[in-house]
Order: sequence, then C-alpha cells, then structure tokens
Amino acid sequence: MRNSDAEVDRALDALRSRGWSGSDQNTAVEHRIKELTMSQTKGHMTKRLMIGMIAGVALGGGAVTAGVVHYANQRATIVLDTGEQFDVELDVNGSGTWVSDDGTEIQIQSVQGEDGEKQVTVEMTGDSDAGATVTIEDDADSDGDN
Amino acid sequence: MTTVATANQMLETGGNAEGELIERAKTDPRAFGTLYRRHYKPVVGYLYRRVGDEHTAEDLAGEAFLSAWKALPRYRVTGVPFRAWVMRIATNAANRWAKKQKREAARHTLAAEMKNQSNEPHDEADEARTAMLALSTRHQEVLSLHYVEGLSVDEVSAVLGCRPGTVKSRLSRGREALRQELLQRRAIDA
Repeated sequence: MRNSDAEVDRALDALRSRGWSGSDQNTAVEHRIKELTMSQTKGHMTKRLMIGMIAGVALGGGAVTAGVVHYANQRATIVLDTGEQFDVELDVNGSGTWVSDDGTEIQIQSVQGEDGEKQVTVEMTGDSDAGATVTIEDDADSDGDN
Repeated sequence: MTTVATANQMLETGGNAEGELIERAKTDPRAFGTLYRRHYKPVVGYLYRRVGDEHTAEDLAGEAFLSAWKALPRYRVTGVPFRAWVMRIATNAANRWAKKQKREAARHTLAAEMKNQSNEPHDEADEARTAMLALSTRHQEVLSLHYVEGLSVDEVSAVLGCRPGTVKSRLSRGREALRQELLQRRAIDA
C-alpha cells in the first residue's frame, strides 16, 4: 500500500472515530410530534364528545358510555368510568374546569337560554381515551338518568 | 480497516412490523415518533461525522426528519428501506450545507489571510473533515457512507439511488481526490 493510500485510510479512520455523544432526541422533531399529536387528540376527543352528546339526546335519558356530568345549581359533578366522582364549582358565568392526574382537562360552560333552558357545553382535551356523555338536569327534580 | 458497529444493521428494514408502522405513521404522529426514535441516532451520527459540529448535525437531522415526515405519504414500503430513504434525505441536507460551507469558507479564508490568522484544524479528524469538505459533494457522500458509516456498495447505491457500478467508480475517484487534497495540505504545511 502506498504511503498516500495509508494516509487516506488514516484520515477516514479519524473521521470514523467520532461517535455521536449528543442527545438521542431532537427538540424540533419532538416538538412537532407533540404539537400534532395534541392537535389530533383534541380533534378526536371533541368528535367523540359530539357523538356522545348526540347519542345522549337521541336516547332521551338512556345509556351513559363513559362518564356523566350532573348539573346541580352552580356545581357540576363528574362521574368517570371508574366510578370516581368529582365536583366542579362553576363560576358566576357558569364556567368550570377539571383537570385529571393524566392531564385530561374537562371544561364546562353552562348558559341559561332565553327560553329558560340550560345549554351546557363540555370540551375534553388530553390523551385520555375516555369519552363523555353530558346529561343536563334541573336543579332539584331531575327526571333523567342519562 | 475497521468497520463501525452499526454498519450491518444500517439499512435493515425491520420487517413487516416496520412496514405497518410506516403505514400508520402516514396519518398518526405518534407512530412517526416511534419511527424517528428508532432511526434518529444513526442519522444524526452520520451528519455529525460529515459536518463536525453537534448543533449543526442536530439542525440538519431535524430538517431531514421533518422533510421525511412531509414526504412520507409518497413513500412506498416496497421501495428502498426506510433507513436508506431517510439517509438519502439527510445526505441531501448535508450536501446543501457543505456547498454553502464551501462558499463561506472561501470568504473566511480570504479574510483570515488578510488578517494573517491561522485557519488550521485542531486534530486529525478535523483535518480529515476539512480535506473532505474540499471535495465535491458526490465524492464526500460516497466516501462518508462507505468508509466512515460502513455501508456496503449496494447499500450506498440504495441510499443515493444510483447503480453500484457508479458508486464504485465514485469511491475510486473520491479516494484519489482525497489523497490529492491531503498531499496538497501536507505540502502547504511543510
């Protein structure tokens, strides 16, 4: 082998000896994945919630698929699939938020319509697979178990 | 000549499981996340050995993976292995960087000469990389992929999308170009 060939091999060996010692994660890629995952999850959950609400109305007080929000005065009670129950105080505008340990957030908005009927909007975000069906009940004399 | 530990696994496809993951990744960012974590380190390592700077390598790797993601719907599992495909995108990013670097280096060298400052590399690896950067990107890419990353001629051919015969010919010419460049640098040093 010519000396100059050995020199080429030595140069290539020197380059090869440089191992990557930086991070195994790329901030830009991780950020983009997280952003799109959250956006997709939120869209997914909102869709599930809409389906749940429609189903609730169609059944007229029928089955509950994943959880129930009972409305009472200015307090909402959230019942999860697991049977756990949480109370959320609604503010004077009828708004309240509940956040679970895994980051799932449920935002509740209750508005009294001109016709006297309450309209409740529930939005759920986060990575949880749980859906929600919303039941609107009058303060004292609830007649529904949906 | 030694070979890098990852050489033989460089272009493994991961079988049907990876094919399914790739198909899911076309619409599911979490599946793409799994793919990216599986292939990131070899890709960023390759870029690091080409550019010599961690931050630049990370930037280029990020650029390569985000480009891969955008182009993923057009990727066919039956074509080149995913790793080869990403390496091709990374190689293009490194080539663009190298060309830009060459233009800037010409200006910096002139400025350094005017100030009578030394622009010499620090160690043997830096010296080798500086010599490599003086070559054409066609020579840089084949030399890096074959001799530095340890890919076979066929694997390099898959990454670059050219025939194995073309790779062999570029390797031979690339080695000669690198030899000339190193000799020239020795002569200047002496």
